[in-house]
Amino acid sequence: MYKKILILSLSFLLSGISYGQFFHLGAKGFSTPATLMNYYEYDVTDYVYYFSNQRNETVRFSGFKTSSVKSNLISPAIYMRYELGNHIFFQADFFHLSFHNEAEYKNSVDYKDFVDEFNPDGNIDNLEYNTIKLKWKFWGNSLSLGYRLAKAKALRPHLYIGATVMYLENFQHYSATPINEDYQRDINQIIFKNLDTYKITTFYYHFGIGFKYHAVTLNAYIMSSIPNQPVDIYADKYEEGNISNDISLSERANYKSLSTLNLSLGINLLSFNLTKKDLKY
Amino acid sequence: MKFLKKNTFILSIISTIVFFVLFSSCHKRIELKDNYEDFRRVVGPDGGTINFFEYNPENDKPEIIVSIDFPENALDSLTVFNMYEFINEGVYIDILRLGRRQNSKFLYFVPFYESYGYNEVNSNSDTYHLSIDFNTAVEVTYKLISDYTPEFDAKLFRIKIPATNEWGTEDNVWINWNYQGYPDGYDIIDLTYLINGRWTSNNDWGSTDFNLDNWEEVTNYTYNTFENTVSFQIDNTDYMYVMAKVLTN
Repeated sequence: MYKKILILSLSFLLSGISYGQFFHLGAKGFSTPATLMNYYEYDVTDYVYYFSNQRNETVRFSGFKTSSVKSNLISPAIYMRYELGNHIFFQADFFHLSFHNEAEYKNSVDYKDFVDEFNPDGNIDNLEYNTIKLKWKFWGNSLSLGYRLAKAKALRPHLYIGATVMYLENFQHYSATPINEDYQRDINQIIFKNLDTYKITTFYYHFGIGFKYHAVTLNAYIMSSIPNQPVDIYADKYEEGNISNDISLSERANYKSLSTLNLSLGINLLSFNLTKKDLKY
Repeated sequence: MKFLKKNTFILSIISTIVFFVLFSSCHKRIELKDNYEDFRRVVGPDGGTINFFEYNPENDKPEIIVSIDFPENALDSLTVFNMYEFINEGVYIDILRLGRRQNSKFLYFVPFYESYGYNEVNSNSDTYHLSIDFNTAVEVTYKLISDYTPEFDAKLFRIKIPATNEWGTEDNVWINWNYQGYPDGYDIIDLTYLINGRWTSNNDWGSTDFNLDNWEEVTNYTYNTFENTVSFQIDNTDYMYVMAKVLTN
């Protein structure tokens, strides 16, 4: 049975070669209208910072604000696509992705008291009373295998799946007005340091549908982290339950998964017909 | 071949850029100047030092106003300490010097067990002073922020806070809770009456004249002139402290 499937698959692939091979270099822009970041959850009395300032500030981490996720309108990408016959294509992408979100926490200090203490002159715009703004930037590579339908049409739909690797380029504690050299900044740095647990290299799968019209391609796809490939450097510790009584709050896992819904529009900039005797572009 | 070389050249350029970007611009995690251990106010059986800071916009670094050094095994479980300065002018402190009463700052701690933690607002929780006896003495260093110092005849006093039910079930010191569900110091009237003596073990709450019956001089302390700090040892959480010059009629 397996042999039959293998032979049929090979035949299917090889049959495409007789129809020609094309290679395209292109650029695309994509937007990410939805970004879902799941995080590890802790008991209400766990993951709590007890800071020793004059307000006896206690900060209880409570996750990420999903409604606050904002990505740049258009992210850039370049791609290389190898088309095998009329149906099959392989595509490698190199892209950049950035978005903002906010970590939320409960502050033990009443807001009025907090402002009176830390911002009496009202000159700090982003006081970060119970949120910390985060700015994420990634580079990414993806490899896709696609199947294109309706070979006789100009507008050709296609389906594709693939794998993506993302590299955390930058992760910042974003503050509209930096709080210079004061105690509150130190506290926020400590909180941020414990949020800075996303792996530098993370792995994802993606799948999508799209349409090709001459040199233009429109895609809608979902990218999500691979379940068995943790995105947090301390995920194993969380799973093993080694976090109780850890008052230092170090090595605390935060991120469970990352998923994005994306829309992309690409155009071939250079195209090569690899089956011709002399390659032209 | 000519075209193939051009293609190879383009692909090489792209590959080089990709690898350069990936391997030269990955996120560098920050190294903190100060860690959580430097700013926490929770301590357990392992012991450690808690520093309480005061933020002053004019200073780059927060100033340590109280430091508590817990030896190993002084506590049986993780305990959180809130520190408060209570300003009161209704007591016999330096009353006669300028013919008027002076504000005085009283230092006290509100401990709670870390496992007790957060309380939902309006929940029925134990709202009385929690008395914790340390297994071994704990050293407190207090930076004097008032004008009263031992060099000007001031003395260190401690003022009794009754442990739960110590003076009767109706005479416990209440803890205030703020809108976020966290303890926010003791009831101000309770503190005032403890300080001015209108409430002692021998009389009803607020039913007597001012007196210093709850005051006890702490003689065993060291004063650091250069740092303007006093250091003393405490065995439990049942007292508030004040450096004061007391003049009585």
